Amino acid sequence: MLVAIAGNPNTGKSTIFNELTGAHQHIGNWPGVTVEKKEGEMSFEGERIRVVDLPGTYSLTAYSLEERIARNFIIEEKPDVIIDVIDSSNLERNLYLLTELMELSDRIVVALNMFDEAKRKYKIDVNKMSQLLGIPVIPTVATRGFGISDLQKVIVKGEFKIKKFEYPSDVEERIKKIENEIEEMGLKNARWHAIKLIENDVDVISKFRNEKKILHLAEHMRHEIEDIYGGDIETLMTSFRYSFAHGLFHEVAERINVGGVTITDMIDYVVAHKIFGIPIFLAVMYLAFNFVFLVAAPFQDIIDFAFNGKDVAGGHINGLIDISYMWMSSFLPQWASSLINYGILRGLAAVLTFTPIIMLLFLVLSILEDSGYLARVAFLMDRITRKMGLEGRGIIPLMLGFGCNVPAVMATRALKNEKERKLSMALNPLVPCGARIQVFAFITSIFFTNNQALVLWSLLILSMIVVFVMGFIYSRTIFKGEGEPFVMELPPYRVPTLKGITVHMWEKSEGFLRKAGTIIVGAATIIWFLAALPWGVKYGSPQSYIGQIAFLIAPAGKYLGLTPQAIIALIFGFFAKEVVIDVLFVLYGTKGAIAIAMTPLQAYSFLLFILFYTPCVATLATIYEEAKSLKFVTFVVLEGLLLAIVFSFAAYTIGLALGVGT
Amino acid sequence: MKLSDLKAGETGVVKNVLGSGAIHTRLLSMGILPGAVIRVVRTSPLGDPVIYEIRGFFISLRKKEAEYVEVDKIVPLHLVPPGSDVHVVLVDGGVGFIRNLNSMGISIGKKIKVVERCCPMRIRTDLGEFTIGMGMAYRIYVR
Amino acid sequence: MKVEDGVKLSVIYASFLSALTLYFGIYEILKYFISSIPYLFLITLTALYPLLSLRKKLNSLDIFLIILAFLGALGIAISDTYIPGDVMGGFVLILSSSLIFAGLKDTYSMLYSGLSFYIVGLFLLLGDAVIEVTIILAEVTDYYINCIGESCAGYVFLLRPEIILLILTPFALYPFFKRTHFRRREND
Ligand SMILES: Nc1nc2c(ncn2[C@@H]2O[C@H](COP(=O)(O)OP(=O)(O)O)[C@@H](O)[C@H]2O)c(=O)[nH]1
Repeated sequence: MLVAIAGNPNTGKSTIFNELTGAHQHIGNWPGVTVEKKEGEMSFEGERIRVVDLPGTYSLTAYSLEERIARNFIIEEKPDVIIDVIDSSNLERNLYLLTELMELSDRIVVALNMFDEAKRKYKIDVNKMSQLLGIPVIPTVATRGFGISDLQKVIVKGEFKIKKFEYPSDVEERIKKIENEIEEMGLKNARWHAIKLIENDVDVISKFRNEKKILHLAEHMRHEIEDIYGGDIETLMTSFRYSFAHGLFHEVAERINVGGVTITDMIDYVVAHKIFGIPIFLAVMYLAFNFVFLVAAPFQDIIDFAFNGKDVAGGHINGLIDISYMWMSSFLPQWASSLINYGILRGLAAVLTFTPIIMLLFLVLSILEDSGYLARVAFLMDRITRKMGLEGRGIIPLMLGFGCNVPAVMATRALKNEKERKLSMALNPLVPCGARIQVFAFITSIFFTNNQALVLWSLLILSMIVVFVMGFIYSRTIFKGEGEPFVMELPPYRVPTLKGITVHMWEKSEGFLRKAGTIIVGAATIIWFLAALPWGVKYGSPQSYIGQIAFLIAPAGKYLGLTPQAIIALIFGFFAKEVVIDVLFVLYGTKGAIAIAMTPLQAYSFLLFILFYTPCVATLATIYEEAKSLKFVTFVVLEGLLLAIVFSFAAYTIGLALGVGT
Repeated sequence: MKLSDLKAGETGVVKNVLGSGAIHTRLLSMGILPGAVIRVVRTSPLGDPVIYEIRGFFISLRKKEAEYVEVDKIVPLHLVPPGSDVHVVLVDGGVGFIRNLNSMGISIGKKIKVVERCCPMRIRTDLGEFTIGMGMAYRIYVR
Repeated sequence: MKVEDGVKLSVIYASFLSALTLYFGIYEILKYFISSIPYLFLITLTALYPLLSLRKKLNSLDIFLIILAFLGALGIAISDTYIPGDVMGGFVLILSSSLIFAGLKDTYSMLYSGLSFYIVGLFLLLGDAVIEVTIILAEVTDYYINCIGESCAGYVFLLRPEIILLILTPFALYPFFKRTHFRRREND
C-alpha cells in the first residue's frame, strides 16, 4: 500500500510523517533536482505501508517545481490514500489545496493538524466536515502525537464516499464534454485532464499536443466560460474552487472572537521595525554564529586529540591513529599501515571533527526555522540579496560561510528555489571561511606587520565585493531564474519542540557523515598517495608526486608570484585550508625563512590566491551531495581557480609595474 | 489603484489580478482573488517587501508582484470617524454573520451613519439605530 | 496585588535592568578599544539616563535605585579585570537595553505597543545570556582539553555581565505573563 502526504508548506507535514513512520525512513532527493524527498514505512496491524512526503505546495499548477513533483507523483504512482495535512488555524486557504486534490483522487484523508492552535481561533465541527466531504477528517496535534493512531486507522480502514465539489453548471457541462473525449482515448484521470485543459495548464496542453481535436474543443470551451463569467480563465477557475473552500470553511468553523493582540503581532511589530529590525537580525546572527562555532570547539578539539594526539613540550602524545599505526606495523608492511592510518583514518578523523559544527548549526537553523524567524529574515533582507539573485534567506548561508563553508552549503537548504540554491552554492566558496582567515592572519603577521589589519580588511572586503558582483552576474546569466515569484507566507511564531529539532539535527548530520564523509575519506586517501609516493620519499617533500606536480606548474606560478613551495602548500590546502600554514613550515623550516622567501607583493598575491581558489575537499563533497551533479562541482572548482588566477595575476603584474612591495 | 499604492494600515478589496504564468497563478492560489479583502500590515525596513494580511494569514510580496494586483481602497467600519455617512462595500463573514447584519439593515450597498465610535459603536441605518461590537465593526468594510 | 501594580513594579525593575545592561554594553565596547577608568564615571551617568528620564519627578524609590545602580557600577568598575572587551557582545547588550527602554513608557500604561518592545528586548537579553553562559561552559571545557598533557594554570574565570543578567532578567518577565490584561492604543 502506498500513502502520499500532501499539504501546504509549514502545516506540520514532516512532523506527521515522522510520527507515522518513526525511524523507518529514507531521505534523498527527487530525481534530478535538489528538492528533498522523504520516504518511509509504517506498519498497521501487520500491513506494511509505504509513506511518501510530497513537497509542500499551495496548489497544483504547472508553474513551480514542487507543485509539478507533487502532482506528477499522484498521477503516475497513484497512491492508495492521500493524506492532506491541513493547518486548521488557517482553514480556508488550506482547504483550497483539498479542492485540487479531490480532482485527482477519491481516497483522501484530511488531517486537521495544529488543532491546538485552531481551538483558540475557531470552533470546528469535525463531524460535519467529514459528512460534507464524505471522507475521514481527523483532528491532530502532530507535535504531541495526538490523533496519529486515528490517522493510521483510517488510512487502512477508512470509508471513502467522497463528495466532489462541482463547478457551476455552465462550467460542469463543458468539462463533461472534454472529459468524454478524453475517456474515449482511454486516459485515466479524465476529469482532471479536462479541467486542466480548460485552465490552459502548460504541461497538460503539451501532453495533448497531438490531439488537435481535443485541444481545439478545450480552447473553445475556455473562451465560452470566459465570455459567460467575464475574466481570465485562471482567475475564474481559482475563484470557483476558492468559493467552495470559503463556503465549507464557514459551514464548519465558527470564529471565536478573541480581542487583543497576538504574540506574533507583538513580536513582528518590533522584529520588522523600521529602526530595530536590522540590528535585531544582526544580533541574532551574531549569537547564532558564536554559539555554533564556540560551542563546537571543545567537541572538535577532543575528537582531534583522540585521533591525532598532540605535540607537547616534551614530545608527542600519541593519538588513536599513532597507536593503531604502531600496532598495525607489527604485522602489515609499513606502507599499508601508513596508508590505512595516515591516509584513511586521518580522513575519517577530519570528517568527525566537522560533525559537531554540523549538528550545532542545524540545531540553530531548526530553531530559527521552526520558530518562524527565518521567514522574517527573508522579509528583512530581501531588498539586499535580491540584487544577487537570491531571496532574503540567501543571506544566511553567506554569513555562515565566514565560519565554515561546509555547514554553510548545507544551510542553502533554507532556500526553496532550485536555481537560487545552486546560485547560493556557487557563491559560498568565495566567502573566506574561518580556516582561510586563520591562514591570512598568519601570513599577514609575517609580511605586513605594520598594517596587518588593513591587509586583512582589504581581503575581506574584496571577497564581499566579489560575492556580490558574481551573484549579480550569475543571476543574470548562468543561473537566470524563470522569474519565479517570491510570495512567502509568514507563519506565526511558535516555540520549537525538542523532538522536532533533534530529529532534524540528526537527519542532516547523519546524511553528512554517511555521504559527504565517504567522499572526504576517499580524497584524503588520494592525497596521501600523492604525498607519500614514490616509495621512500619524505611525506609531502618536493620529491613526492605532489612536489613533482608543483615543480611542473611552478613556471606558470611565476606569473602569479607563487614559489614552488607555495604551490605545494596550496595543493595540500585543497585538503583543508589551515594545512597551508603547516606545510609552509615543513618546507621552509622557520618563520624567518618564510619571511625572506617571498616579497610582500608575492605574499599578497598568495593571499589573493588562497582567498578564491578551489574550496577544500569537504566543501566540494558537500556541494556534490547537495547538488548531485559532477558538472556543477567542476564548475565550482573552475570558478575558484579562475578567479584566483585572475586576481593574483592582476595584483602581481600591477604591483610589479608600479614597483610596490618588491 | 494598485495594491502597491496602498500604505501600511490601509485596506483594499481586490478587483483584478493581472499578469500571466507563474506569478499570476501563485497570487491566485494564495487566495488573492477578485472580492478578497487585503490589508497592508507593514513594510520592510528597507522599503521593499511588504507584508499583507489576506484571509486571516500573512504573506510578503515584493513591490513588483504587488503591482499585478488591482484593488479598490476600503475602510473597516471601526476606523470611520463619528458623524460620517458611508456605504457598505463588503462584509467579511459567514452566512450567520451576514444574516445578523441584514436584520440591522447593514448589507452591501446600503448607506449607514456612524453616530458614536467607541465603545460600543453606535450606527444609524434605514432600520434605526443600533449598537455593534468592535469585533463586528472590524469585519464590515465601507467606502 | 493588582496586575497594574505588578506591571508598574516590573517596569521600574526593568528600567534598572535596562540601565545596567546599557552600562555593560557600552563598557564591553569601550573596553575593547581602551581600558581606562575615568570613562567609567561618564558611562555610569549615561547608563542612568533612562531612569532619570522615565518620570518627570523623582521619588525616593527612584533615588534609591539610582544610588544602587551607581554603587553596582562602581563595584564592577573596580573588578575591571573580570569583564572582557567584546564589540559585538556589547552591541547586543545595548540593543536589548534600547528595546526594553523603548517599551518602558507604554508598558507602564498597559499598552501593547510598549509591551512588544519590552518583551522582545527581554527575550533577546535572555537568549544572549543563555548562549553566553553555554559558551563560557564550552570555553572552560576547551581550555582543559587543550591542557591535556601539559601543565597549565587554572582557567581565569571572567565574570561576564551576561551571567549577572541571566539571573536578573527573569524577574522582569511578569508583564509578559499578564499580556491579556493589556490594551490597544486608540486608533490602532
Ligand atoms: N502547535 C502545533 N505546532 C505544530 C503542530 N504540528 C507541527 N507543528 C510545528 O509546526 C512547524 C512546522 O512543522 P513541519 O513539520 O516542519 O512542517 P512542514 O513544513 O509542513 O513539513 C514546526 O515548528 C512544528 O513543531 C501541531 O499540531 N501543533
